[in-house]
Amino acid sequence: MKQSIKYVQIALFFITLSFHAGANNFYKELSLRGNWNFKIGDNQEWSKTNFDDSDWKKIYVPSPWEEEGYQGYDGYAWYRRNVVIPISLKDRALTLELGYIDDVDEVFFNGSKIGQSGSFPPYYSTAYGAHRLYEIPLNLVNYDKPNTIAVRIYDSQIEGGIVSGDIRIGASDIAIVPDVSLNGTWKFNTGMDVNESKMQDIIVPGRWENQGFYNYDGYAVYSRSFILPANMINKQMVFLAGRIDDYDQLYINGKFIGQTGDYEKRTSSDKFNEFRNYFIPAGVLKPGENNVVIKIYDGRGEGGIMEGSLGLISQENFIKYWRMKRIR
Amino acid sequence: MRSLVHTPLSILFILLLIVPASLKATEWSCVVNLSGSWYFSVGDNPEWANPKTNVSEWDKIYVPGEWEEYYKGYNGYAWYRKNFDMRSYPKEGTLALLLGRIDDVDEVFINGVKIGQTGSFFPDYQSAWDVERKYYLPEGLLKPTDNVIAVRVYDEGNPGGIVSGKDIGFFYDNDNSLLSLDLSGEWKFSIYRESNSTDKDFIDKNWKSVSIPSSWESQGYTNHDGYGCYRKEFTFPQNISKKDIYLSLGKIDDMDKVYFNGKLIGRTENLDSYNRFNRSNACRMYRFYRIPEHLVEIKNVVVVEVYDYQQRGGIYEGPIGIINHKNAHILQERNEEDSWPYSVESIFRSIFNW
Repeated sequence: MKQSIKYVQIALFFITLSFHAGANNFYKELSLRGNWNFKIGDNQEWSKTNFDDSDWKKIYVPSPWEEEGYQGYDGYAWYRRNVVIPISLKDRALTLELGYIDDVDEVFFNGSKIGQSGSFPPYYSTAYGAHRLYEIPLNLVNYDKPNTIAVRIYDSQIEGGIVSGDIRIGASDIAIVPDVSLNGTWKFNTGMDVNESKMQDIIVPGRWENQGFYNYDGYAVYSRSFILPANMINKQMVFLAGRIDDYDQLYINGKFIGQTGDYEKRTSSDKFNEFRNYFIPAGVLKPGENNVVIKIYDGRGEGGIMEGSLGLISQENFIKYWRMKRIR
Repeated sequence: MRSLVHTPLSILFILLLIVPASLKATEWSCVVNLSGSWYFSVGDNPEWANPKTNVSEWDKIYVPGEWEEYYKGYNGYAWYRKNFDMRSYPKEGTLALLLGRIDDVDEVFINGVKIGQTGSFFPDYQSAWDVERKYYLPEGLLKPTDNVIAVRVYDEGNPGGIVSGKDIGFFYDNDNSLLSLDLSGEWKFSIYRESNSTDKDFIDKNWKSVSIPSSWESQGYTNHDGYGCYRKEFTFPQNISKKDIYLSLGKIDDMDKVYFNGKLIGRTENLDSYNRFNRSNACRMYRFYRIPEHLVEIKNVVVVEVYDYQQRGGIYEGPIGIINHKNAHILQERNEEDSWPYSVESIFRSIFNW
């Protein structure tokens, strides 16, 4: 008995040790708890930065709107507020955390859509159980100035709104800032190849379970096009594909670039916690429009492009970033 | 790095791998120790192989070790560089570069010249995370001072880099000093049967190159079982007697047929120690094949056809070269005491045949 207690103690010691090693000294947060501007109804104009919401009602976040004076309301509503992000957080990765939202939401940062969970009618699917974590692309941020967050929500029944959890912007670690950011809307279809008839929009990064593919395991394809600025044509570029669950293959302009895990043989994978950096060989990228396809196989549980700043970065900036991030 | 702890069988696997590794017959003595501080940079640039490229601004990290100790979460390409002197170059025998285990794929350059690669980069990616790196150097590449070694590494995920190894550096293979002519290093290789590939004048210039001794798995032919054919052209030195000479091919996994200038000079089944009722012993027998004097010309071609039943395959352990009768005996005696009666394969097979 004594012996086993000793083992437990040793085990606990190592567990604490590993937590310390993994703890992020950089972590800072800006709380977004408290009053937000609120209006029931739905209007795409409400996503915009310069929209005047001064006549909107105040609502406390987080809390079901039923408890804030909107008893019995189901349907669309919008939340808006401003937040000043200090210049001291420049270069840090910023994550917008909105706790739990009932049922479906779509999030805009300074007018640009940065994420979605669940899907709106007519193809309604709830994501009430999903923890809302949205990466803020740093090219959208105005430091030391107000930034507008707008959240469009659809509630189908009972409680609705930003109902619970931590509401904040987390700033952790040093962010990798792609020269061409590809976070945002991609095309998505299940299966092994691009299938235009089945294709639909999906927000990257974000697990597909939250975006209308609840419980889906198997093959899926992400695709989109992007414009390569002329000054990057002759640079060595790295494609940041984020953290992917479980295996993936990357194609640019139809050319196979790289893979992680064994996409074809699907032997068990231990790469679902790994961030993908794919080095693009010379001659693959072309001026103007380029096309990228990420093929994924998910064995079980959550699947898709889970997190990270997606995009292209020059090797120069890539190396600079890793030198900054080096453990000293 | 691929996780091995999926099944209890893999644990058995690990145990089996550890035991014979400590009984490795080859005797190494250190010439230059390369463990310690190396220049390091993430990223990928062919110019970094060039000794003239200035890397003084690069980071310094300790080798061997996982690069995650410095670059947590990093996956992708990175390069290692180090300068070294080679004042006491051994007069005879072979110098081998040992780099321990590298996760996942590497390519090694010395003074700007590529000397070898283990695993395969994109687009035909093949990890070799569990292979001990051993490279042989072409003659005349090393200088007494100011040599530059550059190692390009790709890591797919989890631990990456020159991750572990007891011996990192240049080592002198004592067994190789018994050879009259050392033939280890680059050989032509193919896994496809071709009707005339054992002929002397067969054109093998489209074949891939591999570095031996080393299993073909460690040269990018992961999971390949079955046929493999090695070819090597060499000039017979004038100062060596052609009488009573043997071709030493070290150890081959599993069966082999050997041709000298197009003539079959031996096969596994001809060896004294071969037991046809226990073919699994074949992979740990030393190969010595007598070279008939009349076959020796100035330009010669050795062809070794190998058939591997399962797991590791190919000419995996030296020494490889021409050896005289007396030294062949010394070599056999020297290594007999070390050789363990049970190989990994024989244990593995006995488990499966059970």
